[in-house]
Amino acid sequence: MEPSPAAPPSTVAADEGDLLRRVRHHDLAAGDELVRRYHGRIYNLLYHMTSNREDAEDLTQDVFVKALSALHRFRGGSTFYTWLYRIALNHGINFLKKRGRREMMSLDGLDPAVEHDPFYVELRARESPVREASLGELQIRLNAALRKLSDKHRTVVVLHDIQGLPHEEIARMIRTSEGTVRSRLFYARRQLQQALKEFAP
Amino acid sequence: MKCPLGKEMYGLPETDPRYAEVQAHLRSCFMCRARWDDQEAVRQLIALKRYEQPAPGCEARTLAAIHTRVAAQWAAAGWWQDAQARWYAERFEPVRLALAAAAVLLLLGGGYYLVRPSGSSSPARPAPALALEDQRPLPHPDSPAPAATGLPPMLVAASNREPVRMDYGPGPSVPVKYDY
Repeated sequence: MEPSPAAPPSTVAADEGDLLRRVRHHDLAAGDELVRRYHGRIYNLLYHMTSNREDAEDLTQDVFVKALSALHRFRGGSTFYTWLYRIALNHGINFLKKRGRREMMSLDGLDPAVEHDPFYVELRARESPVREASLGELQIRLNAALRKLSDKHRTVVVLHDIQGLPHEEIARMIRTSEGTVRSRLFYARRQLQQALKEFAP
Repeated sequence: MKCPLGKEMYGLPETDPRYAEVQAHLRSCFMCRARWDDQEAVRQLIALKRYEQPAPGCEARTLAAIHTRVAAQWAAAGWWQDAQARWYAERFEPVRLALAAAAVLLLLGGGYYLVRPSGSSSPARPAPALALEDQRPLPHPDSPAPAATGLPPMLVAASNREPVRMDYGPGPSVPVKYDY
């Protein structure tokens, strides 16, 4: 049941220490390199938390500007990747608290590869509403269901079920125990099951 | 294995020592198996969101914006923040360690001060010894009164619980107990 991470956190290459040192000395090229390395994951995290691509883009900028400006406060107690994720999570949660539930969804496009996903293929083959629903409709339903979750439940679902991070890594990021992460996932999925009962068997 | 399974048991990784036990339970318990499968189905359904892709040019736009904003911040901060950043990066660590060590020493010292035996701050004072004249045996009631010394009467009390000898002047001494 534990998914394999989409890309292992070991993107922290051996030369990352050197990059961080250069950024501390205000080397913009090194800053660009760090942004390139983590942009995709941070953008996706914020996008899945907000279900709004414009907000996610703005928040991604804010997170990187904040991280690069405050890099002198990064002591190396965790990996840079964990530290950056923590900034992004806090930033995203603060944003959602301020925004409330008033905004519209603005969704990213779907990669056509989804049509070959084994689970999607199986869903389509069943006598289920997925057979009739377009991919766009399914996407809207998934995002709407995710937005109904509380911040702490949405966070663990995004990090584990969508981004594929292991419980241990998530527990470190949100500073809680692995048992609490699994317990939150359990409750969140039960809520999602209610919201998506036509799709989830 | 507790049934129904605890919430924290769902999604245990295979590396967890309880994993095999949970799987054995799932093979024999229909209710827990159904709940496990429901959880897995929702996980797979929501995981379809990973196919959502950012619009083309998103990374380049973000990169350009960050570049501009960070460059402006660094330029505005000037030499002072630059120096601060360097100091934090290169010099702060040893200072921080020294401060931490000093704090630990201070805590240990303070802790010892608080838990040390009470009254040990000043050396124990021995009970005052009876004066030499008070250590002599009590006079027999029939013995003649000692001659007057002409000195003022002296009171000696080592404690208020034990009877002590008290001189009332030139007359014979009698033990008196101050147990009030």
